[in-house]
Amino acid sequence: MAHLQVLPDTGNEGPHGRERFFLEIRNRHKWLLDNTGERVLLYQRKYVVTPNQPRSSDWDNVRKRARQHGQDPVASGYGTGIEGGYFKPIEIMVRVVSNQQQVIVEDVGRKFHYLPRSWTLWEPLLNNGDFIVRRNNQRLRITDVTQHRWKHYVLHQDFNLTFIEPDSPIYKIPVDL
Amino acid sequence: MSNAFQINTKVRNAVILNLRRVFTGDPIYPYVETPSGELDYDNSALSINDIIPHDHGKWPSIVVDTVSGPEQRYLGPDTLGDSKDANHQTIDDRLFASLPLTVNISIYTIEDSIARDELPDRVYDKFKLITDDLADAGVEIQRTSFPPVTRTYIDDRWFIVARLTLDVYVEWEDDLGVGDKVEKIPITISFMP
Repeated sequence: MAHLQVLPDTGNEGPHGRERFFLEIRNRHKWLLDNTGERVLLYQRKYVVTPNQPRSSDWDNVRKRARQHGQDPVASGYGTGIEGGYFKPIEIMVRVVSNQQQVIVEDVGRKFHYLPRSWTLWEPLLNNGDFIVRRNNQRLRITDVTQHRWKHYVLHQDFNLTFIEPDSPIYKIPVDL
Repeated sequence: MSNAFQINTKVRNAVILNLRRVFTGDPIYPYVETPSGELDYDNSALSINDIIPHDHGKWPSIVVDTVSGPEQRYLGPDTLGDSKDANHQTIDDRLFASLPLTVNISIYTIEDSIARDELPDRVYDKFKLITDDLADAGVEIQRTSFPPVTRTYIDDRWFIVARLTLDVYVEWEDDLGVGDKVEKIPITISFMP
């Protein structure tokens, strides 16, 4: 889940007199993304079990895994093992950098490789395992998140996107485009 | 069937077709085809293919491959099983051979150790159910084993391959049918002018 970040003290130019540059860097990232990014829906994966988000019915307590395949009408965790699986979507701007698309034959089968190195703003904070939905209902998993920071404040986030095969439970999540 | 390669292929095809048949009504992993015989992507929970696991890019995927052992052919006179009528016409020409085969079944899943366990169980159970069908086709399962599961980590996910190996013994016979009828022996004699 996204947490609001504590901003540096920019009043009176901060304790070191350089904090005002921080806001300007963020503003320029925002300007860049407004001009070159695309609007997508971000689904953030649930990782923590709480009374409000219990284990889903497809959780296997022996293997400590949730079912990914098969047709289970009561499965409600979409492969995460937690009820609902993902938080409500957030509309964000993302710059998906064009990249080579390849079909590679792995030992595990035919795999569609497409790993555009993409970036977005400082919030919401991304985690590996989140996914985005594009306008054409294409769903891409977020991996290799890198947070670029100034001191400990996030300025922007880089990440990779990978294709999700159409028979993944993620495609069973209803999306209102 | 006229040679060992064909029996190898036909056993593989028979295993694939039978697996598709028995998975058709499976409550969790149904195999569904469209009226035209294509894999129904929307309603099918798995694919069942031949030697190449890359045809469909669909998971989970069951892939069947067969490896032939040495053919056991009866070494006797060529005329064994050969019967002729009073005119020396071959009316029955029967061949017999047998072959030990290894049927390798690989089950590909992604991040799903539940399906990794359930699918080999189901395949094993379903082979027990179709023992008579296999026997009618001349296939007998001698031994079933479960080689180790392998895993590959790609793009933040584990791709898991579970396996079953069936050692089977296959017998088949063929009838080459009625031979040519010899009605006359054409001999041309030329006279000197």
